[in-house]
Amino acid sequence: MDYRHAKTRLNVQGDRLSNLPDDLIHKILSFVGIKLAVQTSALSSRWRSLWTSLPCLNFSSSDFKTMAKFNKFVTHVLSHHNNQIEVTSAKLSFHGKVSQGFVRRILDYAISHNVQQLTVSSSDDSGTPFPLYLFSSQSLKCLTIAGTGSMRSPRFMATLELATLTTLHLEYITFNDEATDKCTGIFSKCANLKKLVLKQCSMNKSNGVDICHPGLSDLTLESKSLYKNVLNVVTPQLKNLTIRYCQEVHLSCAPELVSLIFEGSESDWVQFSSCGLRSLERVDLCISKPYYSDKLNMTDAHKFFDQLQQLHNAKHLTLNLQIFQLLSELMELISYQPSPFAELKSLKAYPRGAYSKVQETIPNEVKKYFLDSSPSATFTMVSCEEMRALENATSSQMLMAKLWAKLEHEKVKLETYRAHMDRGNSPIESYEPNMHEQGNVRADNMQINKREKINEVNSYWKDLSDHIALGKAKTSDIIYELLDIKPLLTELPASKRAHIEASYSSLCAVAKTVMNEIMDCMKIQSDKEQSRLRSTFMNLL
Amino acid sequence: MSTSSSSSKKIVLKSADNETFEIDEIVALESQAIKNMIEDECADNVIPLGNIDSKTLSKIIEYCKKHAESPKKDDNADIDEKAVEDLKSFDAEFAKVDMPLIQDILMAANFLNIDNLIGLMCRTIADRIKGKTPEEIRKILNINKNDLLSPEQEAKAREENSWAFD
Repeated sequence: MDYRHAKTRLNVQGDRLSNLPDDLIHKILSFVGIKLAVQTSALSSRWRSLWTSLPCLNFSSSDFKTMAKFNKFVTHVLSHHNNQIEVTSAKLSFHGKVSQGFVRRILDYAISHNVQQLTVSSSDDSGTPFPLYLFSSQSLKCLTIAGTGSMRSPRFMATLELATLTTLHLEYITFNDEATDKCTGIFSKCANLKKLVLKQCSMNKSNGVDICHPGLSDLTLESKSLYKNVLNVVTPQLKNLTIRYCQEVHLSCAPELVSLIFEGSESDWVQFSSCGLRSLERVDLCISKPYYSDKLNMTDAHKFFDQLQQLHNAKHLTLNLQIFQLLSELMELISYQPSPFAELKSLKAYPRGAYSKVQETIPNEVKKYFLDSSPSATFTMVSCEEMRALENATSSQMLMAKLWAKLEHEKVKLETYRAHMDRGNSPIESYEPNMHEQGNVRADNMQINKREKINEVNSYWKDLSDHIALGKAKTSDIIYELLDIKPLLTELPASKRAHIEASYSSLCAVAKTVMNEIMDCMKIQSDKEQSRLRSTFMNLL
Repeated sequence: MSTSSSSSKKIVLKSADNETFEIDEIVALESQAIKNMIEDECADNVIPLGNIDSKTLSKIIEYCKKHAESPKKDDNADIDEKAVEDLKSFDAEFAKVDMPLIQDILMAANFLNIDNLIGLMCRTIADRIKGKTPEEIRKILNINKNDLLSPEQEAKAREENSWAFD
């Protein structure tokens, strides 16, 4: 790019966007979903056929009222899409029953156009089998397949042969170990696999699952009681391991492990082999009591303590307060134990959940157990109060962003409505409650009988009250949302307070303007109805 | 990770309306295009940006400063989360500007090749047109009136793609 030759000013007046290169507009369109992308063909001649060369095909059945319409849409997109364009990413998410042939049509198109990222996900709850078939590809880098808990989960019968695959994410998948030995074979032909995520997956036999891969560097295991069997992890290159609510994970070989994140009950705690975790940097543990018991199981507590010692090379430890509480039960054991953490640089304690009932003090013995061998390590403690403030900050910001979007949307609608009214048109649909067969009822017919006249008057009154109801609904919606945010602002972290409060008051200001606009529009509508009523009265009397 | 210190090397950018901005080299390096120029040693002391006005350029510099100062991933896991969070809210705030400016920033970011900023602007535009009718989108994006389809052409476009309009 030579800036010396770029003499043309980019800031042409008016329509800047249409001057952008196609790939930038494609980028914008990739964020809006393919249905709206196709609709942009009606914007202007510049946009007329831009969508046909989109490199991202993102199909979602939620954009359509029926599966038949969705099906038709997909068929059209695939037949109108430019055949010369490579599909870099394809997504299919559906709710409802689809045939395997339908899924295959999309996948085949994507694969034959060298797709690199592919996602198939279902939010179906009808219990139909997931329409999956095994495919091969020479270009695929990231693959995500996600079923749901209530459907019969798709089964992997054979080995996946995806030589270029680096990331694999599976949710609600059943592994079938008929053909392979303890399912180790499933990933063995994905030689380049670096990142593997298994959520809520299960195994249809019970002799345990091995996850063996020579090159894997990231592994996430998440399951709420679906793995009934022991999971044995043999991954010499593993750097990051995340385990959430999995029972009985044995980490047999992971000498390169850098980061460990664990969440679950103390009875789920990982078993480390004695191979040593030399490179361990960051350990983040969060223990919660199993829902069925209040009492601490001492065997589990001892097991937890034993395995905790294996993490002695950790540099940064983040532990929830419940862990310190658990360890204080083992006070006798701990006070005689020299601190194994010689490399520690930081220790952080926080409550799991801002409203959890947990002791916010840590006994000295327990603190010493962590910090004694690393005198320079820093210790920070997040209180429940601070945690609440942080949570409030996040949720208030999220709610505000949502309301901003809503107000923006309302503003555009009001503007379009105004422009429409200024041109002297009759009200448009979005600001007009359903009118009752205007033409027929209101026809100025000499033969109208008494009943019809009354009906006409009533229908005007009804419209009038509908306008008021619509305005009421819109404004009270906005007010409700603002009132939802307000209490969150009482407890905020000091560092974010000023910023969040400022954006809240500017949000309120915009809300006021929009609500006033809504009232104005309502007034215009009401005046119209009133004058209609008046003229009807005049005609009647 | 270097914050603005007086000893670091400075770069001067000159906008279309002849305003000059002196910034740290590290900030300028957020732009792949400027980075290439510096690496190829074809950048003079002052880099003229004849197609970017000062309003747009100062916004872009604000963005690059923040992103250059923010600690990069894998420095330290603990700082990471906070920095990511901080950057996220900065980005959200940064994008709260009117559509013409967003489009100017996008074009300039494209010219300067600042990948993150291009992504942020594209996502912002996408968010603003989501769920809108073509008529509303035309207004939001200020689509060139001379480029509009004739009523017949538009009807044809809708007809051809009718399967996307219901």
